[in-house]
Amino acid sequence: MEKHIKGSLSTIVLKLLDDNGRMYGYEITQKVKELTSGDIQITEGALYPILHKLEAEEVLSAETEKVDGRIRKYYRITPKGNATVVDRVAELRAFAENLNLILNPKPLFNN
Amino acid sequence: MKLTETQHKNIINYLIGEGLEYKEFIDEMTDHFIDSIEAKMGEGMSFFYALEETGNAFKNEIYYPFPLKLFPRIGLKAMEKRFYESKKREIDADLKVNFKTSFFSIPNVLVLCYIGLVHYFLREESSLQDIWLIYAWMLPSFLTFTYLRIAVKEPMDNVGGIGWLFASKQRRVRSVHLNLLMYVNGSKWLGWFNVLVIPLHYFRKYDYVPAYFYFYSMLFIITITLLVQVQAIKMIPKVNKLLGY
Repeated sequence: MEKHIKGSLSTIVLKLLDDNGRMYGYEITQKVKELTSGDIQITEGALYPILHKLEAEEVLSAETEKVDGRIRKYYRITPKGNATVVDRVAELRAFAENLNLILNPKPLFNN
Repeated sequence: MKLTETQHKNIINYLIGEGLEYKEFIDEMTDHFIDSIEAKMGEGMSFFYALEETGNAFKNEIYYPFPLKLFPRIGLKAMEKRFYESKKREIDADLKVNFKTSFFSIPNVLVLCYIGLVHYFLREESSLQDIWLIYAWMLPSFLTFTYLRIAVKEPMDNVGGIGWLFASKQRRVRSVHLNLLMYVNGSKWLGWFNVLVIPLHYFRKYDYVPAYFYFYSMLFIITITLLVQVQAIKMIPKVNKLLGY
C-alpha cells in the first residue's frame, strides 16, 4: 500500500487539515490510521518532510503551543493554500476515478 | 500512560544523540516521540523498547547535502537537514529579490557613504599601518549581530564560534531562527573574510602587493559586507514570520 500512497501523501495531509482545521504531526498519522481502519499508515519519516515542505511553500502555516510541559507544533492551511487544496483534491479524485475505470472495465456488450 | 520527567529527558538526550541540533526540530520530534511512546506503553511495551521502535520509523530517511552523494545524513538528522534547508531556500530567494529591487534604497546609499568615509582614511599610505581602520568594515557586522541576538530574545545557553567545536552535543543545540538571522546577517560566513583581510594587510605592509590592489580589494570587501548588513536588517521580519515568531 505504501508505494501507492507516496505520490498522494501531500494531498491526503492537505485534505485532513482542511477538514479538521489544525493538527499536529502525530495526530495526522493517527487520524489516517483511524479513517482507513489501519489499512493506510503514514510513516513519520515521510510525513514530516511533507509538512515542512508545504510550510516552506506557505501552503501551511505553523503555530506552537505549550501542552503538558512540552511544545506542540500545529499546522493549518493558509488562505493561499486553500486554492491548492481544492486543486489537489480534485486531481486525486479524477485520478482515483480513472484508476477505477481501468481496474473495473465495463463490458462492451451487455447481454 | 503519562511519561515521567526523567523519561522526557531521556527522549531529548536520544534525539540529541542522533545528532539533532536545532531547537525547533527537537521540540517537534520530542512531542511526536512522547505521543508515540505513551501509546506504545499503553499497549504494554517498555519505555526503552518503545523509544527504540519510534526512532526506527525514521531510519530510512536519507539526505545528501553535497554533490556526488558525499557525506549523507541518515534518519532524523536527514529530516532535520531538509527542514533547515527548506527554510534557508525561502530566505535565499528573498535575499536575491531584495538585492535586485532595492539596490539604490536609502539604507544602501548610507552604506555607500560609510564606504566613502573608510575610503577617505584608507587613501593615506600611513593609515595602512593601522589595523583598527581595517576592522572598521567589521563594525556594522558586530552591531547588527548584537542587535539580532537581543531582538531574538532567546536563552543564550548554546555555545557559538570556535567553542562549538569542543562543546558537548547538549550545548550545541541552537535555534533555526537565530541561525538563519546570523546567516542573513553574514555572521556565519563574513568572518571568513578575515582570512583574506589579515594577509592582505600584511602583504601590503611589506610591499608584496601594489597599493591599488590592496585598496580595491578592501573596497570590494567593505562594500559586500555592508550591503549584506542592510539586507540582514530588512530580512528580520521575513525570518520571524517564517519561523512563526
